[in-house]
Amino acid sequence: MTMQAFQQAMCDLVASPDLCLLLVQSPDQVLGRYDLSDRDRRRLVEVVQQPGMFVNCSLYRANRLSPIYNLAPRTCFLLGDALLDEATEFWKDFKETRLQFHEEVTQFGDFLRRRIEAGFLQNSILAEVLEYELALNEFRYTPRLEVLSRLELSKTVARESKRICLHPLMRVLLFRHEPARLLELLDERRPPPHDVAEGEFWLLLDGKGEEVETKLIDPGVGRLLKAIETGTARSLSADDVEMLIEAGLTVPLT
Amino acid sequence: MTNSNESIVGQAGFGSVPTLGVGLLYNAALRDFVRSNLDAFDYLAITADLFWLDRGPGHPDRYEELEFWIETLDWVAAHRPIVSHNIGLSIGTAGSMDDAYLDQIARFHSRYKFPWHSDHLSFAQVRGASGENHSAGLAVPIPYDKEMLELITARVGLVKQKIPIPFLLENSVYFVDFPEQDMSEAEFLNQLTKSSRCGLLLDLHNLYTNARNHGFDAFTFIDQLDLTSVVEIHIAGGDEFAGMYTDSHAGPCPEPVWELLDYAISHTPNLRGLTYEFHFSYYPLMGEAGVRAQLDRARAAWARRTSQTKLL
Repeated sequence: MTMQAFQQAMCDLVASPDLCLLLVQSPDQVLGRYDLSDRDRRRLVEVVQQPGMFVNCSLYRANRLSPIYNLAPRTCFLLGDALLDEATEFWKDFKETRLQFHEEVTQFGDFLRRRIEAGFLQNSILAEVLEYELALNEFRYTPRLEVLSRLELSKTVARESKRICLHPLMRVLLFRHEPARLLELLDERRPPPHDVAEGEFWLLLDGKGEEVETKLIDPGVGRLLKAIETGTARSLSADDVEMLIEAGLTVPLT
Repeated sequence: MTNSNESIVGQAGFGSVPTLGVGLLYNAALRDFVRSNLDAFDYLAITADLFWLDRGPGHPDRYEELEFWIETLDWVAAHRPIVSHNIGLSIGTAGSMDDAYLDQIARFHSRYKFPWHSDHLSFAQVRGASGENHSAGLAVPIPYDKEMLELITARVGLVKQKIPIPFLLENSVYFVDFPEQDMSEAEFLNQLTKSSRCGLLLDLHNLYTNARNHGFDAFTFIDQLDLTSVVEIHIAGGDEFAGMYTDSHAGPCPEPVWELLDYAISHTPNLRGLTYEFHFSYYPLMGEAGVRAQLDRARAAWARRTSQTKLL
């Protein structure tokens, strides 16, 4: 058991500079939590005092931050100095990581959504950009060809269905700021100016091809697709359903 | 230089392993590069873990392959050999092995026919009280103790049972020095390759990083190794971080790593591949020409090794 305990202690220390500090100040308080041999106790007391332990702790944080930064760079840019504070807050609730990029980013995205809803983050652009990047990530990890092939196989049966849902490789997002200009600036890591046009902009993300295509769509269509996506659409005529399916925007529910 | 009389080729069955030449570790920035620069590398090394989603042990659909990445892999596999350099085995973890992970590597091997595969001499996960996995968040080095040697020796046996091709372990970077270790790193590596019959993936940049941070001579370290066990060499770059030099794979190899390569490559009789690795975020800085320059320089070193081998 002692090797397992030693490894658990090392992991806990690497994940928490505060625990390292506590170990330096009161070793018994920290080491008493683990079933350690005397040699393991001496090792841990010594390594937390080495400069390399600070590097380990920093690398742990960098390793958890890098998938978030790589897959949601615009969100991170908008968070600016708040990024590390938000990540630290996130890690308090999500101590577990498997360093799977998709999972880490999705969980951090959900965390930010809650922080925005609770009013802790008040950047008006952040929510729009966050949803955009989370949608892109969904596409990145969706087996596109498999989805398309499954849809093709179920086409005949599905046509008999009267109900539809948004195409699984489509997303529709509402922006309150003109998205093309906004995303262009953020791609260049430039802060968006205050004069980005405001209004109701619906962005359609099409992940059916190798590259995700984005285009602005009519607000009426945007609202309709969002309602279909969330299952709140009023009943549609057979012609409308047919037209939406033909346009590749929706698929029949099987 | 420690050289056992009995060649590791005979010991571990590396004799039938093809000599591949100069390879490149695949990363997300290289999708187009590999398609348009096939002449620049003799084989592609992959971190297989990056080609799938892992929903964790016990999940009914634990692994889901990432289509976008697999497309490229399938294309390269039709043109070049693939070797797998994994990060998920966590061979030093106390407790049980992750059998499902090994099965997944075995599935990849059956598809891509790796000449060999490798992982890191460290632990990246700990087992909880009820057997569940917890990620350490980074590769934590192991203490070089007899108990650890026994554990890893047994694990290598299990790996070889499931995947009957040569298995290599890579020397780790460590930022802290565990006191009271039973043996030195070189002694541990020599004992491990002898007892488990695994090969050594000698990462020269890791060695350079350790030597620089802990103040020892990297050439002397090489002299202490049984170099007949070295099947693959890794070269990479790094940079300063939080007050120490790290193995961040930051762009080109520093000059001292090339010097270590020139020294090591002429003393590794069973070497089958030399792999250059860099972090994908450095591709915009290096560009296609920058990556090719590193591979060209590696190839020149490889050619010198080949000519020296012929003279022996």
